[in-house]
Amino acid sequence: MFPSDTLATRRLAAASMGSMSTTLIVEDLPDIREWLGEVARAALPGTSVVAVGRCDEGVAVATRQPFDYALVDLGLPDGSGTTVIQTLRTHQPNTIVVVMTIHDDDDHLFPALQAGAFGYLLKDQPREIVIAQLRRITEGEPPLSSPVARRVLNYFIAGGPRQFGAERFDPDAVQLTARETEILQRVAKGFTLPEIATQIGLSRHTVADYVKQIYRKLNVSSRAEAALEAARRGLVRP
Amino acid sequence: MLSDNLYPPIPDAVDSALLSTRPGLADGGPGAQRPLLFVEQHAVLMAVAVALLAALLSVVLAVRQPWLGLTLTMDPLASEPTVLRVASVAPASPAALAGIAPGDQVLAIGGAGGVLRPVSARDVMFSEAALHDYAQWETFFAAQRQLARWQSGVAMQWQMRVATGGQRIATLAPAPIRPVGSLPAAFWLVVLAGALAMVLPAWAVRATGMRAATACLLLSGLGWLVATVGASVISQPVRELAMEPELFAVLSMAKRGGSVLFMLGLVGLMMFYPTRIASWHAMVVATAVAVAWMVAAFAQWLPTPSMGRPLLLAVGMLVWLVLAVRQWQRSAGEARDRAALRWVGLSFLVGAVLFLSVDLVPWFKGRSELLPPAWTFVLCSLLFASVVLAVRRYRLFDYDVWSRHLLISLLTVITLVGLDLLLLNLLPLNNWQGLGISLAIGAGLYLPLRQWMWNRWFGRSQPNLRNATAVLLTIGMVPSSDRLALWRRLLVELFNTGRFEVMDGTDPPTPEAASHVVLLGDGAAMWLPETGDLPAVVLQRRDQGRRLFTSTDRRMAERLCVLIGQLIQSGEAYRRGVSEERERIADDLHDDLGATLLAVVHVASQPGGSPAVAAAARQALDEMRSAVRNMKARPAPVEEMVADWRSDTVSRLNGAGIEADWDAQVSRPEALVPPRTVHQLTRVLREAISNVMRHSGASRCAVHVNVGQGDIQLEVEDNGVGIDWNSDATRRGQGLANIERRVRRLGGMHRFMQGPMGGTLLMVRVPFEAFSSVPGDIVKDITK
Repeated sequence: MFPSDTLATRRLAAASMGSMSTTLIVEDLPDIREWLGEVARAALPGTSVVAVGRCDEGVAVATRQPFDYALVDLGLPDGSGTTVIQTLRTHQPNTIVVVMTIHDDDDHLFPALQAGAFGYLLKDQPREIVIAQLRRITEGEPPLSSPVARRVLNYFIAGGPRQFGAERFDPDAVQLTARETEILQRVAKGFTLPEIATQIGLSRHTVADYVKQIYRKLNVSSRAEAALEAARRGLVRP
Repeated sequence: MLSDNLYPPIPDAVDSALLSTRPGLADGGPGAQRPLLFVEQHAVLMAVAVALLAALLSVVLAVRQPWLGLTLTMDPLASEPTVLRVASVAPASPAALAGIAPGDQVLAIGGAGGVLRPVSARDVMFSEAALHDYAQWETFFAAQRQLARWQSGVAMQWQMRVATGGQRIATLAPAPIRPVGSLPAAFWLVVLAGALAMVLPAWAVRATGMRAATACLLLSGLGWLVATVGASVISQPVRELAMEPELFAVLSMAKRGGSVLFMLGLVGLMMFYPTRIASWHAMVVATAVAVAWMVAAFAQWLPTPSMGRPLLLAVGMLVWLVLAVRQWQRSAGEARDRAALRWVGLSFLVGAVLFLSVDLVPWFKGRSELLPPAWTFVLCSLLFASVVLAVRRYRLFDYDVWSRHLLISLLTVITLVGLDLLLLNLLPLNNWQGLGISLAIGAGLYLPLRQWMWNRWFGRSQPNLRNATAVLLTIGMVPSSDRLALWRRLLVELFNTGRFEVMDGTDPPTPEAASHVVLLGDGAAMWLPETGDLPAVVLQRRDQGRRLFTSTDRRMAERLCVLIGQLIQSGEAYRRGVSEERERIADDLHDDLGATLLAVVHVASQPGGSPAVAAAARQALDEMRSAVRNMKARPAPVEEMVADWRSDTVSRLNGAGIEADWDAQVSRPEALVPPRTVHQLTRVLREAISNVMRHSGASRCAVHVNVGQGDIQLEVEDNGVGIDWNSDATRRGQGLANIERRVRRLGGMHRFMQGPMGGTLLMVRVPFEAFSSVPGDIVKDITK
């Protein structure tokens, strides 16, 4: 259902076919929007940028046009960037969505990650750092902070997947594996991903793949939960 | 932190029988109820039929007596106690037609045309206790025979001393049949008393089946019914003047024999209730003794009349008391049995006093009774009824309160009677003066006595809300995790209970219990429903098992539940309000201040902009994020705080190409750190790391965190160039000043020095008291 090499495959495909990648930027402040465009072009050479400033514009573009990457701000004038992320996740499951924010608290980030974002970047960091971090995400190494790791663990242990029936969703798809849980627990204890790779004797790349898988499961689980909740309320007939 | 294990664990769960609504067993014995027999099911109906037959018999016997229409009384004010006076005359009665008026003194009575016979009260009034020997007995019956013959004749002559002075002879023509309407209220009261005593035990049989205890009650009730049939007809004023000695003797035997059966039943009750302490053989022996004794009394084989029934009843009371004491010893630790015993015992004592006063001992000089005999019968029946209720365990939980009232009343009566006797014997007073003074003194003593009894017997166990108020108010303000422990403490102290069970997930025993406090198992336990977010609980062993929960306890618990519910609700609303307000401020900061600072960062980062301004704005954003996080934060466990520090510190140092050496010692990983402490220390650590990254030029940085019992220590050391305290940059920079200010705010201290690694070593130490939502003095109180 989720080939772990999706990102790499797409990037390779894009490179080998010589076609240009496209990047969606949703950011309300014009200066920052422009700056994000530069950052995207620097981090993803040859990408063509579509930049919008509102949530509804973002949703409209996301349903119309394919994107390889999306940099989405959360606090938009007409709503939360989470809506755009959800739309992208529904229409273009392979788009790599990165949250560009000045909020780094898990209360703000967690809904965006559930909606399908693959990581987040703080917009106020120096240009070089943002470019480097963006490059790492798009190359398949999404970041994961200890508070977010705790939230994800709690979500999978206490709520989420247990609540919905097995007949519609493969329970294995939304259950964390022992390895994934172990990595989350180590992150929650404050270890960095490279440290964890060393501790459990895996390559940095493999650990990054596990983290990506965790992000995906979080998204799948959340969507399943939302669908079930909608069915329960009679909004959608199951 | 508060937790349930502040209290000793309670090993055994709530007795499931308490949660069932089955009525208590009459014998107090174990075992399931068997199906009732047909006879038991219809016991009440049959008892009513028997009582009606008995009432009919009484009425027929009373009506068939020749009617005079007057009430005679022994004059209490006369100097000679045997003076017989007319107390009242029924209108249009033979006596009224003969011109006899109330107040007239009866001197002599005779038949039509015959010789008049002088009469005194001794010839008319019958008191078993007043008869000292069988000769007096025979004299009385001889007089009755003579008078009865005249009474059943066509006419009789009454020689009277009229109230105005002077004498006259009235010719009275007795009516052959007495009209039912002329029967006095006293007659009907006695009949009613008998019926009540008969029907109530049958009700107990209907409820719990025929057991040893209910059978004994039935025997008592039947005996009392028989006694009332006799008493209703031979007592004055139903027997106006005289009655055929043969009938009189039979009815008197019914009265005496019935009262012996009554006593026998009560003695039997104490053998089998609340616990069986004698075999049925004992009851058979007791019955045989009583019957033989009464046969001997009726046959006049005993030396004196007073060795018959009076002595037998006295012996019965003694046996009863011995059995009651034995039962009391056996019921130690059984609050329900003791409550029932207290009540039965007190009812019996009050009944015994009344009974003695009316029937056996002429208590007062000249007066033979404390109350009119009819009322004594009614009171005795009511007391018997209360015994039946106790055996039936009806509202057993309230008996202690009732016992208290009954005991105080009893003590007051005894005090009054004692004073009355004392005064009459010591001072030259007549009856009414003596009684008046006794009443005055008694009334003065009553209230203090009552208060003393109250405090002495029940004072300690009265729930006292005053001490509970602090805990009560705290429950509303603490997080829900701490509430149950406080609720438990409050209830356990308030009701001095030995057991407190959380009934989480248990269905309420009755529909009412879903939202109300109910008493279970006759008051052995009290169920408190869910209130606020507190689960339902069951309290047991009131006063460590010495007493039962009463209706008063129930009402107080009910009020407490309502109060706690409201306190929790308003506490939650307050907390919600605070948290909503914080979120709003946080969102405003983010959206407005954040966007502006971001714009500053941006402009300053443009070519030609000021890197220093950009750095300051970034720092401001960072501070803002931290402040917002702190604003929303709940107290964090130590381990989470340290994990976040590690994650942040190591990735930042590694990102800057500095080798990180992290070491953390945490003594209490679960302890909660107040949000303020987390925020300030996080800023201190970030500031210190920023300094290392920006100014030290170090290649290695070691961070040591030590969270001890009472403090948190931070050490940040690098192998860089060290701080040049004289440089302009150091003096201008805000970083070091910020560290100092934050550490001071937390009441801690810090020190910069040269470390063993050659660079700067920052040591920070702040006091740390684990976060608790419960005020300190209450925590101390609970853990005491």
